[in-house]
Amino acid sequence: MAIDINNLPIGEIPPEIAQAFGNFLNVEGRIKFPLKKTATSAVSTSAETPDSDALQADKDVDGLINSVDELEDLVEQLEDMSDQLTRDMNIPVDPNNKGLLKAVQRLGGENSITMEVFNTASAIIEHAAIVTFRRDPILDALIGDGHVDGPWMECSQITAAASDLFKLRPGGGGSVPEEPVLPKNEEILDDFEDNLLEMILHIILMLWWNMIWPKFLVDLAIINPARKIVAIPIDSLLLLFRSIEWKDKHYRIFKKKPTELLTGTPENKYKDAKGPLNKLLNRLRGILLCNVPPKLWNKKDYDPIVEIDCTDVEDGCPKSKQVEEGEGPAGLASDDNGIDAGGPGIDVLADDLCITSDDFIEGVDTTVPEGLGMSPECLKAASRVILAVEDTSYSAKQANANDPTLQTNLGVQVRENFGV
Amino acid sequence: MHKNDYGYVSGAVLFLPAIRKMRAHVEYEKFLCRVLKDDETTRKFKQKTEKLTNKLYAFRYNNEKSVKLTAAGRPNGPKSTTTKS
Repeated sequence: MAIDINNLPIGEIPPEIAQAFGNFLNVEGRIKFPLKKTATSAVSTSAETPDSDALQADKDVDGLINSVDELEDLVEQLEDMSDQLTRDMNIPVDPNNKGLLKAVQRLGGENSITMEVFNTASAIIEHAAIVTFRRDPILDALIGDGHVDGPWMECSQITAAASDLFKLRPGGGGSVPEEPVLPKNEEILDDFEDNLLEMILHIILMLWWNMIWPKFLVDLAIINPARKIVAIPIDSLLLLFRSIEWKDKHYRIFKKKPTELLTGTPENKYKDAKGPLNKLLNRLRGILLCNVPPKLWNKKDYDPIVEIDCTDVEDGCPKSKQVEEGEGPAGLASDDNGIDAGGPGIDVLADDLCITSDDFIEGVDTTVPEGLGMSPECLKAASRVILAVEDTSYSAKQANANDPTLQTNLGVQVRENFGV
Repeated sequence: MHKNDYGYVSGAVLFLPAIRKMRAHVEYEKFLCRVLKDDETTRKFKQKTEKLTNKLYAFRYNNEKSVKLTAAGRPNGPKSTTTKS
């Protein structure tokens, strides 16, 4: 049966190839055999096992190896064919589409999406988990240790060859474990928590990098139910910053005590009751609560942990009550550590709720980290380019759907060239 | 093959994720084979992985620890098929 490439859904393997692949990869039947009593006991307890079983195990192993060898041949041919069909890709980018244009340039292109740009975008997506979390789960499963070190990379550096820059972190288990996978659950969970926190911090950093949230919030806040969905996470984020146990590795991201981000510096706590992060979050709240017609907003649905007076709004920035001189900041900034259980009395805000990205950056170390990592902008650019290519591919498919001369039959080529 | 106005075959791009999944699967299978047996074919597996454009697989399966693992074999594995050459 021929395969009409115009009907291929993304990510699904055509039935013919899947069948061929399945024949080669009868995983269940083949993977089981090394675990069978015959296979293992043939070596360790040969007295209990007939020689014929050992011979059968050897045959099974040889059969597996041959199957995998043939399978790799098939994949290589598919890859070669794919390269031939896509290598001349050149999708011009509309100069008015500045977002996409910037994404392409960030990935090393100029004003069109070439295959090199697309491959870079794909590599960024593929490497994103390792570069972000500095850990590869497959390595973890194989050798019991997946810690990865490497340099900070620009978007255009993250190609398919980027892994050449990776190194297994020295000292993270120097020898091969006796068991393929060691029970390191607690350690892995701790690392996971750390990495999760680090990821959250990077997300916060992204706030002032491109300030997309305010626009996103305004867009979302048009729909009343969406406001609650957006508002509650903002409060949760604030509470998270107050509750997490900060470690040295997290300070390197902000180079400022997280409590100061929330409450301002201790020496200025009465004058500058709130830190820049607090201001930013409160500005988001202000946009959310004040820039939307009040009639659409049922306050019973959402009880903000900080009250905002929307009656005094200037340029979209709500003004707050002034802190009386000599009076300590209440609520969130109630102690030197900025840690407070919340509760009643949280109604005092800094005098200026409006904050720019420059304000937020002030005092924050923006130098590029030395360790393995990339800008979150890379991921955004890569996603944008891939979506653009897929969208273009689908559009081209639709335009050509009724033109029989443009039908491309991948199945025929696979069958003819590879005998599948 | 007919290419679109942008110089490529649309369906081939849409098929790329599936091909990449196949490659990832094959590389894992090759590593399993290397753990099970050390012969000419499995040594060829390692060399081919090394030559791939996508170096991620070489990083995963040809790093020092992984290679030691294939050489040593698994403690409960079929040692008769994991002898070093």
